[in-house]
Amino acid sequence: MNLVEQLQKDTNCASDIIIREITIGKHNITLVYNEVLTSGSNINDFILKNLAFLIDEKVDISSIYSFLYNSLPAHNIKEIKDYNDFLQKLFNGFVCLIYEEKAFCMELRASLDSGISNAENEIALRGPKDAFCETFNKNLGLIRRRIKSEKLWIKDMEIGTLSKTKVGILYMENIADQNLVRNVEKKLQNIDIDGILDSGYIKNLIEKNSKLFPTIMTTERPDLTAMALLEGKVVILVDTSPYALILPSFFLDFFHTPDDYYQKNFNISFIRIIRLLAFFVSIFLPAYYISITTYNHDSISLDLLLNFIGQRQDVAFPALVEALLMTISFEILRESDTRMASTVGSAVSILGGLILGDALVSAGIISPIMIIVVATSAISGFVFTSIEMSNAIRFYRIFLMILASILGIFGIYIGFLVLITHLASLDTCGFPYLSPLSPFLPKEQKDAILRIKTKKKKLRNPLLAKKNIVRGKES
Amino acid sequence: MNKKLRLIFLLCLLFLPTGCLHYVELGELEVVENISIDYQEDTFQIIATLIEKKEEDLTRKIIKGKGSSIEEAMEKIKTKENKKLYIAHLNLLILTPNAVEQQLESILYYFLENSESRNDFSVALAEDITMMENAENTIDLSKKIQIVEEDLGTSKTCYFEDLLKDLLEKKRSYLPFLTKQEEQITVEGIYLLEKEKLIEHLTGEDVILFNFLHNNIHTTSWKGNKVLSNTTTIRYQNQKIKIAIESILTEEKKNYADELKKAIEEMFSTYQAKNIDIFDFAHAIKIGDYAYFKDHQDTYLQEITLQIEINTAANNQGERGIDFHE
Repeated sequence: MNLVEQLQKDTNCASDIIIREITIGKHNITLVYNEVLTSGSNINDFILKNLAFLIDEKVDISSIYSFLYNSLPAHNIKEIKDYNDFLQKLFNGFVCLIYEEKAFCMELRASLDSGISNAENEIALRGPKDAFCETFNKNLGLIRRRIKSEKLWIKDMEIGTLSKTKVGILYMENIADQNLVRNVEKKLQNIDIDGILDSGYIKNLIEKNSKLFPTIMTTERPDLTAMALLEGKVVILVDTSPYALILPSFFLDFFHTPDDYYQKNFNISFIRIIRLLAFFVSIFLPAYYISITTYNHDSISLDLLLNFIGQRQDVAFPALVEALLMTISFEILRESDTRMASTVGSAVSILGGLILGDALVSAGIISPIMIIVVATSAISGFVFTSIEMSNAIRFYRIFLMILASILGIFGIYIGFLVLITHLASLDTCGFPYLSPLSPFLPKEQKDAILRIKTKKKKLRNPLLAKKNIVRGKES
Repeated sequence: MNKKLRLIFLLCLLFLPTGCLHYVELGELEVVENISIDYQEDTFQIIATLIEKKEEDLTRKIIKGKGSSIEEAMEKIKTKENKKLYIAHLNLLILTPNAVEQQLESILYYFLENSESRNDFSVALAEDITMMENAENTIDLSKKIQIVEEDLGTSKTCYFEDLLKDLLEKKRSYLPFLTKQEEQITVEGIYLLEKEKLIEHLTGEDVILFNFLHNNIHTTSWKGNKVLSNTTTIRYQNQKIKIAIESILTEEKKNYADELKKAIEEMFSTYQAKNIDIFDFAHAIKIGDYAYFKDHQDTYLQEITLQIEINTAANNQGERGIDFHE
């Protein structure tokens, strides 16, 4: 096996692959590494300096291979079994030393991630601020820091025929349901794809397409991940992704945040009711406005009706067109604001939100009340950090707007039934999505919509933690 | 086409013909505040007060229509912009005695049949609906009736649903009466409606006595006495109707009780002669001696003798220290 020749042939002599030959006495050693994945200073300090010492001192060594294998200072040294193993190590930031027919490698990775920084999307008002980064080991470290237990088990695997991305399944061995772990592992093993570039790939591949609402939670917060593990859930970490996947994730999980557990219960119960209200306002408000302006004028008081009539007098479009125009304009603004550089983003917001809004009202394209309705609905949708949840809310918002424009309040009622039926029919890894509301689990209600403090022992979700239901109990 | 698509297509087809029929944009609506209906020479005449908000001010306009049926008359009421008349927020329905006596059934049927009508509006009588042609006169008329009822006790509000209920149960209804005095619409007394016929008009003073006996008085002024509140109990005992009245006045006057007693007796005898149980004593007799009522349904009114007891109290120092004196 000539590893170097084969490598040069397969990579077409790629410029980032460095092949350096060093002669020590009568021995020729070949050093092979990827320039971008390895740390140059580490190669200098831990390999080249030691090899230079051997050349200068003209040390006569009968077995150079075993000498280097045992004396070079590296924390992770592995022998290379075959050419595939050689390639895998090479593209994982290892430096390979080849002597005659034998080869070994040392881990001297370069730090290519963005580092541990504050969470950007899931802002913490109180509690830890750190967020996952793009490196698997660092992310694992952030979780291990929080759960210092030998029962935190990890199952590693590589997914992606070309990317060979490292994926880890994390779970608490003494809490999590083994069937769930096997189920997740099986799903991951069944993935057949050339590359996994982010945990989002895995999420899309293992989640059913028909599910409009998210059944797998994506998080950048290690504290939320640790909480999920202690609850008996399974976490998937993906190398190169700063987002961990938590599964199963129930509907109500998206109404909870880690901050809920760092603050007083009474306040949190109130906030959770507000979140639930925001969910319904975000979905139903524009549809309700359409229904009362086109069919159900009698469902509002005379004063309000006269106000609405006064405001809509100069508007040229029907209520549905007006609502759709406003919703689409808002979505374009939001999308451009997200993609735009932050320096330009604020200018877009001002231009879109204030100047354009005012001009639309003056031009008689949109009524002021419609701006209030769509803005309230959109702001309510921002309560959720999950993009998938926001997308599902947006879909139902537009769906109900169309139904309301055809059937009025009756259409909203039909839409509500469709929404409830859809939610009730979903499952997350085989567990009912609306749990603990449906099926109704009485003991879980103290941390469902409201958060109630009790003197009784705290229990885990009985659906998930089949082995060890009592929190704090030694297993 | 797979099953799901077929189902969605069918649902869309179902929705479209059923829903869009009642589609009306807000800009195409004319909100009706009051409707006045008269019936003369086989013709309905309708005057509607429309209300709209321009900038910060409420403005009203009057439109009229005539027709051989109420539907036709309403149909003929068209605004310049050809907007739809919207009666869900109707406040007051004014009928003339002619319209009530001749076409009450068709008027009630029109509002019952109309899916927009919420049937929670007030109903009043007026001799002449042309007084509604001045938009200024029509402002807050239903509120005016309520204020007169509460502050003077000389009228009584009647809601459309209550009217329907009374007609179905064959009970007597009381309709407030509107008149025009010095270019202003005032509320003056009530009309008794029984078996779809207007049987009597009670003047303001009569209505006060009527309200005394029906515990409807909030505050009123009767023959120079300011009455703050009043409680009446009517019982049938030993073949007599016993009426006990307890009035709280701002200032106690000795002749108040005597005058009140005399007025009730006079009013009762007037209506007794007309064979109208104005104070609804039948209810008390039914409770007190049902067997007697059953045997004397037609004659009980002529056999009634009254025993009236009036207690008064002065309350010129707030709610404290009320002492009743006979």
